[in-house]
Amino acid sequence: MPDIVKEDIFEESTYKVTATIKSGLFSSKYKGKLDLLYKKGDTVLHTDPDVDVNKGVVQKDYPVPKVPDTEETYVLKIVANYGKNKEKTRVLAEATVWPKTLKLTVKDTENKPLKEVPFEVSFGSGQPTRGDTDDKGIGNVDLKKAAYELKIKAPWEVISNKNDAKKREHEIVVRRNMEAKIVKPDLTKPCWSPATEGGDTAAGVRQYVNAPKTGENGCDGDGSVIEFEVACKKLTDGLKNDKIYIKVEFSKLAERSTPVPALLAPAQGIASANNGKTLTGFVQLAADGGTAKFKLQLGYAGGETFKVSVGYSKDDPSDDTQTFVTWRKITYQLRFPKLMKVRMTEKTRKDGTKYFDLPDAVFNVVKTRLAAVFVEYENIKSHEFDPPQGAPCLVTRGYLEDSADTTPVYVIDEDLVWLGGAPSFDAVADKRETTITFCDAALDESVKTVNPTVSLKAVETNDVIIDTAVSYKYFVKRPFQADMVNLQVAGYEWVADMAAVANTDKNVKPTVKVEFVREDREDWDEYEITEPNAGTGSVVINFTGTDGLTTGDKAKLKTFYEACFDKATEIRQKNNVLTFKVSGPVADGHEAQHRDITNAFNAIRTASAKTILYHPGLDENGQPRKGPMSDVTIEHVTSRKLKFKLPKRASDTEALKPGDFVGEASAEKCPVNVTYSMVGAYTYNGHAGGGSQVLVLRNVIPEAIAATVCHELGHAMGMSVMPTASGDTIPMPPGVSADLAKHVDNGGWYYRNKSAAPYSNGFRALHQGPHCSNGMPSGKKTHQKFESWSPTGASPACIMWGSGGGEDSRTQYCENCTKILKARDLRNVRKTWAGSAEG
Amino acid sequence: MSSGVPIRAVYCGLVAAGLLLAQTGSREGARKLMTNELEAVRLPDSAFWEAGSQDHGLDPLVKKYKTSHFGILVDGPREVMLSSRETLPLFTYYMGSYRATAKRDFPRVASIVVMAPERNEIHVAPLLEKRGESLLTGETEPEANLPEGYQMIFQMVDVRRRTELPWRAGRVISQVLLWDLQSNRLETKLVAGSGAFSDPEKEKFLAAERAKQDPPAPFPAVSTAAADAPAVPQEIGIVLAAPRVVVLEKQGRLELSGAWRLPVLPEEMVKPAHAEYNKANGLVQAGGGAYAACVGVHLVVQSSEEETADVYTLRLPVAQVEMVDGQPVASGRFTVNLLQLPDFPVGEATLFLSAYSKEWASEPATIGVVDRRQQ
Ligand SMILES: [Zn+2]
Ligand SMILES: [Zn+2]
Repeated sequence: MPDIVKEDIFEESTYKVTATIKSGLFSSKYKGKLDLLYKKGDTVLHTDPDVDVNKGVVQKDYPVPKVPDTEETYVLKIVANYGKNKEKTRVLAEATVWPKTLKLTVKDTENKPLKEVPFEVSFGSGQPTRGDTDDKGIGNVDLKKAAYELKIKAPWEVISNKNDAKKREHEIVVRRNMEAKIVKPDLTKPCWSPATEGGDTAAGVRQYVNAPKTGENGCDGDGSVIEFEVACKKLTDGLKNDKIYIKVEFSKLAERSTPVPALLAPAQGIASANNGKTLTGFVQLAADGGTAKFKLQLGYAGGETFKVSVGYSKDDPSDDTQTFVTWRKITYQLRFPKLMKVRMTEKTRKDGTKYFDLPDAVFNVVKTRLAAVFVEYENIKSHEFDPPQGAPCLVTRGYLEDSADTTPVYVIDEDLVWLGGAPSFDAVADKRETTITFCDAALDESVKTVNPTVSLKAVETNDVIIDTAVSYKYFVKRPFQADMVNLQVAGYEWVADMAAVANTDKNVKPTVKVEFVREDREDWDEYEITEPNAGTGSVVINFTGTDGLTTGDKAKLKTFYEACFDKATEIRQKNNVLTFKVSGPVADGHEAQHRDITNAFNAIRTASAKTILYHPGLDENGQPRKGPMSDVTIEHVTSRKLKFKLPKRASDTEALKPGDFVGEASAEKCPVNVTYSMVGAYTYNGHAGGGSQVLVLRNVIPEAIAATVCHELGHAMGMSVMPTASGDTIPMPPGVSADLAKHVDNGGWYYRNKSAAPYSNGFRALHQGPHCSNGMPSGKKTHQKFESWSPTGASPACIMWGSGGGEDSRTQYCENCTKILKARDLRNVRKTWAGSAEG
Repeated sequence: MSSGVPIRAVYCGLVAAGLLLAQTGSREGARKLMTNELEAVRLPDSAFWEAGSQDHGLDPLVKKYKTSHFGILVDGPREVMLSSRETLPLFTYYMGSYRATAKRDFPRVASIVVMAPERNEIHVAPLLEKRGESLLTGETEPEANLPEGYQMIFQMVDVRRRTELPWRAGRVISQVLLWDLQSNRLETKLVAGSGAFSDPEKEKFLAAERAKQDPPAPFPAVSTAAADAPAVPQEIGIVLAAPRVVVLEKQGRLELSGAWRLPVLPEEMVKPAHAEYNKANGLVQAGGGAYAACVGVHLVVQSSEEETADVYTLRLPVAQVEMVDGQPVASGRFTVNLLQLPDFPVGEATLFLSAYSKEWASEPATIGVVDRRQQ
C-alpha cells in the first residue's frame, strides 16, 4: 500500500496536496486526469475536477476551511478519483484540522467581566500557555495542533464554563475561593505560650527575640527572625507561582531603630508604609501543591506586636493570621544548699523532672514586675548541695542574728570563697543566662579588723560584744579566707589590770613575824637580829644594864626594818612576810625582853610608811601577771558575741593563773584584760555582675526580695544608663530618645555613685553603681545624698533605686527605665554594659 | 599633724598648737602618740603592698602601740613609683574605749582627706566603700551591752581608688578624719618611674603655664569678717572659730569665721593685665583696683547625721601679697554664712569643720546646731 500522509493542520491554512500516482497498479506513472475530492467524512467540501497529472505527479493548493464552532476538530480527507472513467479511488492524504484560537471571557457571578484573572491553557506535553484576562475580562490564546485544557488559576474557582455554542469561546463564571494558610510556625506546638499570662494563643504568642538562634521556625529557635512557610489552604489547589500576599501590622512602640522590623527576602515586592508600621510583600509557590517561605525580622525590643496576615488577595491578604508579641527570656541557674529548700518552692518541668526554685511568693512578684518590660525569667537548672559539716558558710540563724534559733543558714562572701562545696554552674553557652547563688547572708569585701582589749571581772564571762557596730558580723572562720580561724590570739597576752586596783589595795605593809632562836652568846642578855630573806647584815641588841630597849636600839631596828624594803622582790617571794630571826637566850626570865623586841617591830611596822607593791595580780617582780592568750578559753557563741573562761592554777605550788585572782578590783582581786583579733564583715542584700548574682533570701516580705531580684537583673540588663566615673557610657538602645537618659543634674532621674567630690553631672555620694531616683521628690535631686531620702511602701521608687530594705518600696521599673528596658537588646546579659557598642 | 610634712621650722609652733588643741578637744587625746614616734616602727614601703598586710600582727604599729594611743593613726609608704604601683595603700587604725568607738563608727563615718599641696587640690572620700545593695545602717550596740575595754579597728584602704586620686607625680598628704578626731598626716611622694626621665625644662614650662592661669572668682561673695573673727595668725596657718552651739531660727545665720596666713601659688595671683577677666569674676576691689591674689582654702564639713564629708573651697581675695623668704605670702580674716553654701548639710546635727590649704590645716571647729526653723 502506498503511504497515506496523516498530519495535523490548522484551520484556514493552505493545504498543499502533492501526490504521485502510478498507473496499472501504479506500476508506472499515471498519465491522465483525475478528480480531487476534499472530504470531511462523507461530505465533499470541494472538488478539483479533471486535474492533469503530468509525469505522475499532482500538485494542488487547498484553503482549509475553519473548524466549525460546534466541533472540536475535523478530519480532512483528500481523495483522488482517476482512471479512464475515474472509476478508481484513492485516499491521498488525511489531516486533522485544529482550530487556531481560543477566546475566553471571564465574569464574576454578577456577570461583571473580571480582569487579570490568570489562566493557563495546556496541551498535554510541552509548555502551557499562560495569560491574564484583559480589562474586558477577555483572554485570547493561540492554540496548538493538539487537544487543549483550559484552567483558571487560583485564587479563582470556576463555577461555570460554557462553550456550547462555540467550542472555542468559553464563557467562564468564576469566584475567588483559594485561601492561603501559614504552615509554619505551628502555633499549636506546646512551646508557644500566650502573649499575656493565661491568655489565648490566637490573640498572640510570645516570640523570644533575644534568643541566639534565628531563621528557624518560631519557638524551635526563637530569635528575632521568624521564618514563615505558607501554602494554599487546600494544598493541592496551590499552583506553582501562585502569589500569596503578606501583610504585617507592627505596633512600633519602642522606637528601637536597629534592626528595623522588616519582611526579608525571598519575599518579593517588599514595601513599608504607615511609618514602617505596615509591611507588605508576596511570595510565590515553588510548585503545584507546594509552599513558599519568607522571613520577618522583629527586632530586639520587647512588647512589640506583629500581626502577620497572608492571603491570595493582594489588597486584603487575610486568609490566615498569626500574632506575635516580642518577649525576652533570661534564664538562670540556681545554686543553693539543701538546707534552704524548706524556704523554696518545688516545681515541675515540662519533662516531668522536679526542681526547687525561688519561693513562689517571690517568683510571682518577680514575674509580674518583669512582665511590664516583657522579660521572662526562667529557671533552667537548680543545683543542690550539702556543705560539709564545719564549713565556714554553715551557721545557725541564731548565730547570725544573736538568738537561740537553731535553724541552719548559709553564709557566703562576695568573692565566693566560702561556697561550702557548692557545685560549679554548668558551662554557660547562652549569653542570656545568669547564675544565682542563694544564701542567707552575704559578706561585703570591705571587711574590718578589730583588735579589742576586754576587761574581764569573772572567771567566766558571757556575751562579750565583739564590735560596737551592729551591721558587722564575726564568723568562726575568717571571711574571704578558705579556712582560717578568725579569732587570732597568737602574740597577745592576758594581763592583770593592776591599774584598776586602788593604790591602798596593792601597796601594802608586809606581815612581820618575829622568831626567837636559842643561841648561846658570850654576853647574856644579848640578841642578834637578822632577816634572812630581805635583811642586810644584822642588828645586835644588848639588854645588859637596861630596863628595856633604848631609843638607840629602836632606831637601829627601824633602820634594819626599812632597809629590808630594798629587797621588795624577795619579800614578795615570801608572800609579803618579813620574818625577823632573833638569836639569843630563850631561858625563863627573858620573856620581857622577847616581848620588848616583838612590840618594837610591831610599833615600827605601824609607824613606817614603807609598803610593798603586793597583790595576787602581780608577780614576784611586782609586774602585773600576764600570760599567753592561748591560756584563755574563748567560745565563739554568736557572730557578735564571745564567751571567755580564764584558767585557774591546778595546785597551790604553781604560779597564779588569771582565774585565781580575777574579779572587781580589791586587795585580793583585779580585772584581767584579754586581747584578740578578728575580722568582721559587713552584710548586704545581694549583688550582680558579669552574669552572676548573689542573692540573700532575706527574712522579709516576698515583695522586698522580689525587688532585689528585679533590681539585680536590671543591672544585668544595662541599667541605669549613667556613665562611669571614667566616662564609659552605658549605651542607650539605638533610636531611643536621649532625653530618656537624663540624670539628676540635667532634668532626669539617673544617678551614679562616686567616692569623691565633686558630685555633679549626675554623680552622687550614695549607693553603689548606676541607679534611678524616679519616685523621689524632685526637690531632693540636687543634694549629694538626696537629703537622705529613701522610698517607703507608701512612697515607692523605681526598682533601680540603689538600696532596698524590708518593705515593698520599689514596686516597678519607672516609666523611663521601662522604655529603655523594652527597647534593649538583651541577647547578652553577661557583658559589661559600660563602654559596650550594643545598646 | 606634722608627720612627714616638710614644714619649715618657723611654722612648727603654730601647727603643733593646733594639734594640741585638737587633741584636748577629746578626752582620749591625752594619750596621743606623737607622730615622730611612728617613725621608729615604720615599715619598709614595700610592706604595705604585701599580701595579708591587714592581718593581725603583721603591722608592728598595731602591736607596738596597742592601747598606748587613743585616736586615729595612719601609716603608709613614703614614696610610690607611679610606674610600678597601682595603688596608694594607707594603713589606718582607730583605737578607743568601746563606748567611744560606739559613738564614732569608724568604717562608716571616717573620711580620708588627701591634699596635693603643690596644686592646692583636695580629695575627700569616705574611708570605706560598700558594695552590693546597701543595707547600711548606723545601728550600734546599746551602751549597756558594751564590754569594758578598748576596741581597736584597723583597715587597709587604697587611697587612690577611694579618692579617685590623679596618678601623677607630686606630693600628697593623707589624713583620716573622724568628726573632731584627726589622724596624723602622712606625706607620700608620688614619683615617676625610675626609668622615666624628668625633664626640668618641661617642668618649668608646665609651671609657667599654670602661673599664667587666672584664679577663680571669690567664693562665697566677698564680705567683711565679723568683729569676733580670730586675729590673723603671726605664723603661717589657718585658724577657725565658730560658736559651739547655734540655734537655727528662720532667716538664721550659721557663721564660721577664720583667719589665715598662707603662701600664695602663682596661679592664685590675680593677673592685673587680664582686666576683663578680673572684672567679670569679681576680682576687682570696691575702689577699682584688682585684688592681688585670691587664695583657695578648702573647708571640709562633716555632720554627725551624714556619712560623707562635704568640701567647699573658699576663694579668699586679698589686696596685698608680701614676700617672705622670697615666697609670696598673704593673710586675711573671713566670716562665712554656712547656710549660703550650696547643699550645706543643715539640720539638727553637730558639724565638724576643718580648713585645708596647701600643707596647712586648721584644728577642727565644732558647731552644735539646734534646728528651730520648722517651729
Ligand atoms: Zn543596684
Ligand atoms: Zn527608673
